[in-house]
Amino acid sequence: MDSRAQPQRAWLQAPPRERRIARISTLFEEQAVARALGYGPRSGREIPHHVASAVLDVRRQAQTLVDPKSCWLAVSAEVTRDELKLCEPYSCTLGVGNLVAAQMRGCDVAVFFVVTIGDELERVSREMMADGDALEGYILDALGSVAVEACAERLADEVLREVMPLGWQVTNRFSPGYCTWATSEQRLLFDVLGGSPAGVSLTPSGLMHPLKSISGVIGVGASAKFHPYPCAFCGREDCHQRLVDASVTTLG
Amino acid sequence: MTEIFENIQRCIETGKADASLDIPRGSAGKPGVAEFVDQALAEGISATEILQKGMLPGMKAVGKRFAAHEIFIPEVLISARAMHAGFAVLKPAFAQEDVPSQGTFVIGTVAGDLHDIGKNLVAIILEGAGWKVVDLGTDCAPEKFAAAVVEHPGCIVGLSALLTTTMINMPAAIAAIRAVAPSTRVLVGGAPVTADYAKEVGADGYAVDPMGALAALENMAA
Repeated sequence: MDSRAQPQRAWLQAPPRERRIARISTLFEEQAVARALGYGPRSGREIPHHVASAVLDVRRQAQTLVDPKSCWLAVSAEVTRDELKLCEPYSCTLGVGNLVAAQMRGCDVAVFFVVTIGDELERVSREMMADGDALEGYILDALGSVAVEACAERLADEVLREVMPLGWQVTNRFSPGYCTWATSEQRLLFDVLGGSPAGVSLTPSGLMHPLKSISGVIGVGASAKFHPYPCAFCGREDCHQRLVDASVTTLG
Repeated sequence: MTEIFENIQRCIETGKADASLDIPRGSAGKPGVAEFVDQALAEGISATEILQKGMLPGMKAVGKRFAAHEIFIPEVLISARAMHAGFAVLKPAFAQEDVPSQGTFVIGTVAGDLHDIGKNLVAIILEGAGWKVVDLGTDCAPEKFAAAVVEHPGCIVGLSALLTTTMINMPAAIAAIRAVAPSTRVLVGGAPVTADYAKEVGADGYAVDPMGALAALENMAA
């Protein structure tokens, strides 16, 4: 019998991990912020000095406006052609679509997660816009997007650190709304995580509140593979993520 | 006279709203849009002429540079701020002249969608270009758009949605608008919206970004 089977089982029985994310200042990585505003190597334009100085000012404020939290839960799962069938005690099926299912093939575990930076930054950004400080409001919103992405990356790293000693690897993270995974499945994901994970809730139309939140799944298993260019296995030309990273080409 | 219009246009393009700003670097203390507009008024130039020959060409040039990917949204917003600075100086003169408005644009995010950053940017850019903007906010039911169309006859309506799950609420909004004012022109936009989708739902126009919205409105109003 594999000596890792018992620690794997014990790991899978852990309750949802809710955490407050620390080291807030590191959530606003300079290059990522420039990219979010349209600048950087992809566009061939450096951020102009007057925009850069506005970013510095707003960034100082942004650090005081975020309350980053995460929640994740590992569940035994079976991957079919386009679904994730969760084992006891969840016993439900998520229609993740064929593209996500293909990337999770061979995984025995699905890690469902939610991260958020809270709603204060969003509120202040909206206020700035309404008060005529459109540039500052726009930069603050972009900083929020960068921060919540960084939180999701931080969570994925945490999962990887936990599963590697158990003999497992991880896939990329996938979110409802991307790679043909319908956003209507969001509610099931939240049900698995217990309703309002990390203080994030769903509106009647299925939107996350606060808006600056990311939900999704990470596949875990001995043969799980991380793909450095996730857009390469999806053919959707009009996808927002693809437009953001226009340098990625489609395979087939 | 041409020189002052060129100065206003250049300051709009660089985003030099007034003398206090150091945009471009090293220009602090030198006149910006506010000062040049003030000077133009003092020279007896009408507010309409200042708007038509100085400010709007400036914003048009900004649109061209944005479309060519030479500048990005932050710089467009800096130029829009310079436009607003010019409008603030022109405002008293506008009250005395019968200045033709660019038109009224009613904008809102469709039902079920709480995202507003794109909608806000469109509103700011259009206001900067001289449009009267009526912002209905987010999560707007079709009836809210219909009521606004009745309240602002002849307006053009902009529908925004950030998600595939909420953009499907656009047809109901368009139907409600057309039920009370059949000739109302509707512009749609937002991350998941495409030109094909705009046609499919019977919209009159589609904009991929705020400057695209301005160009589309100028075409509709022409």
